[in-house]
Amino acid sequence: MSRIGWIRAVSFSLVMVASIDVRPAQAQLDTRLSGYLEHQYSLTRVQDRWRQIDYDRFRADLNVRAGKGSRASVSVIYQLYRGDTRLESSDFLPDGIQFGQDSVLAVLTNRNYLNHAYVVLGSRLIEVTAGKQYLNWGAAWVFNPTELFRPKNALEPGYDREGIAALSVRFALGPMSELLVGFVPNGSIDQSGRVVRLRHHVAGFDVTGLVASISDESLLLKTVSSERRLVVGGDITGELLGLGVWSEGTWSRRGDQTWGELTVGGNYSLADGTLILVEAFFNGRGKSEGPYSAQAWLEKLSGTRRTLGNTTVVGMVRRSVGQLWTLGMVSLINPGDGSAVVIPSIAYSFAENVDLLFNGLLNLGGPGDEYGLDQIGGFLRGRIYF
Amino acid sequence: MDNLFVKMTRLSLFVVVALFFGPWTMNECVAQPTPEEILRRVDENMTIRTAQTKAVMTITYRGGDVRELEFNSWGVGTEKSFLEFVSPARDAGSRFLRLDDNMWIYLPRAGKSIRIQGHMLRQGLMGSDFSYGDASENPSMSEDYDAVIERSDTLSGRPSLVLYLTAKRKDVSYPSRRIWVDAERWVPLKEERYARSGKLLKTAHMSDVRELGDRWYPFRIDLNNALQSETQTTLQFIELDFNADVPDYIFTIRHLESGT
Repeated sequence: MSRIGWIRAVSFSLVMVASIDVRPAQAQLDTRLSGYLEHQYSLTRVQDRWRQIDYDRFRADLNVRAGKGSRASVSVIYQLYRGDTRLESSDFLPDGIQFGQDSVLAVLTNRNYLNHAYVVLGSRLIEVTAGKQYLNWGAAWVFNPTELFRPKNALEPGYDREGIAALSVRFALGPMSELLVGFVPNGSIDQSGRVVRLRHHVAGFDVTGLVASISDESLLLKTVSSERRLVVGGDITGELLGLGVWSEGTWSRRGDQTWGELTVGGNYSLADGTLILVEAFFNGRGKSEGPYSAQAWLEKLSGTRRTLGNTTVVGMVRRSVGQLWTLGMVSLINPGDGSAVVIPSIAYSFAENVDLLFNGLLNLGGPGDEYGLDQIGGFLRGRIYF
Repeated sequence: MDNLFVKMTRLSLFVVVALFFGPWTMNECVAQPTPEEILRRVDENMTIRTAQTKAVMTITYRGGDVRELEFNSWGVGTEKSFLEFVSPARDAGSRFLRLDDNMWIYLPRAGKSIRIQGHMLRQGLMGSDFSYGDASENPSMSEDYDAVIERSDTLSGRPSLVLYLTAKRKDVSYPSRRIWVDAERWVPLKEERYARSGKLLKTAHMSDVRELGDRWYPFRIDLNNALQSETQTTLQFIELDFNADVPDYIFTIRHLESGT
């Protein structure tokens, strides 16, 4: 960004902050402390070798409402790992593809960090959020092309995600409409992300449009791409013939490379409460079948690429069984190479604030296929909320 | 004098008879309201102009386990409602917004709101027997249903009229219902909700009926899902203010996601 452009951006922010409602804060602070303690033990057999990882995770959330329009929120996480914490390349990559010179991909070390930490100042029309916040978008369940900053874990899309440091301004345009302008400092100013997102409600459908300029970040490599990516996209969600349906897509250009990503999906519920969800993801960067390049594998591993194949079908079935039990089955299928990963799950609400969850993991495919790694396992997780 | 005594005796006798049988006699004299009139009176009690409530939803499992969820809610008319769970800790901060037929849920730990649509509306609200569709349906009976009076009945000691309702529109949650309406207070005391096939889906019992200003309102609703016998859900209102000042900003996506 040029010096003049930067001055304009700062001036714009100052004008908006100056327009914030400065009514006196309510005398009484509304403060809420919550969180959970989680323990997880996972056991996985990868290519005839059993691996275990055991962790404790403590999360504490403090939310403060300090008067009309102003609030703060912070979440602290401590996570302690034990077991086979050295992640080998062979645990994630097919034979013949290695990450760097070392066979060790990464080492899980104890972490303590702020999952999010932001302050919000605002009026009814404008709201400014500064700090590590959630910029999670998109109507799709597993694959969200419009999520630019913290991609979901496709194998457990509902799990907590870390926020991203940003300055965002939301303009209210109506009860169901708003405009968001965001700046995501990352690396140099030129590498930082900028995004504009419009959300509206039209004829019973929620519709969003998004334009962004970002530098993709590799969470694994802890690096930020020097090449900018221009992204244009959006999503639409609503009801069609009684079914919940959604579609979400983007068109991206990075250097001389352009590609599109599109997700379409829908849900259906049987009379007994069984929920069936199907989603198809089309990745313009993917291949119709293997083998996939080393670069593609590494991009997927580092979170800058969602899939290797150009089509992925997601199916999910979930049903409450008996008292307090929920059974589920999720499958991600790559029709191109015929591989799939199957994730059965059993959840038990042990007590009002206690959850137990077992998730299995079974890969079905041949060597070199997207889900072809010889892998079977699962984890048992307990979580107590406070 | 004798004449006067006789007249007074007759008058006294008439008063005694009137006091004993008056209500019955008067009811017999007044024409029974039409089904449309009954639904209109029910709507006058049950639909809101504005409301602010605090309530506890108790889910009782067949094995004896109990889950209690406490929430605050705000509503305007039949079109707008907002609900925020305050306990238990697992669900605290989860919020729902309904605008007409559109419904969204905000999940605080994901930092994201999700639209609830289509068949997802059939899922249980926070694991209860109330579906998202129950929470999002328009409760104006007179606008949504045609009714016929089936019979008179007595329910929980209250004189009742049993009405069978058939939906005027296809997009309502239940194509038909049978309701027991208190014939004096005009509040529903029991309701059976049916699928298009005629299969019973849910049964609701309303009780703890209290007078609030110019209306009667049930403070307790017990709901049974006929398709699964594992749970029973009770909704008990703790506080109900039908003349609350409910600002418009509550019913916005912004408020759903920020809570302020």
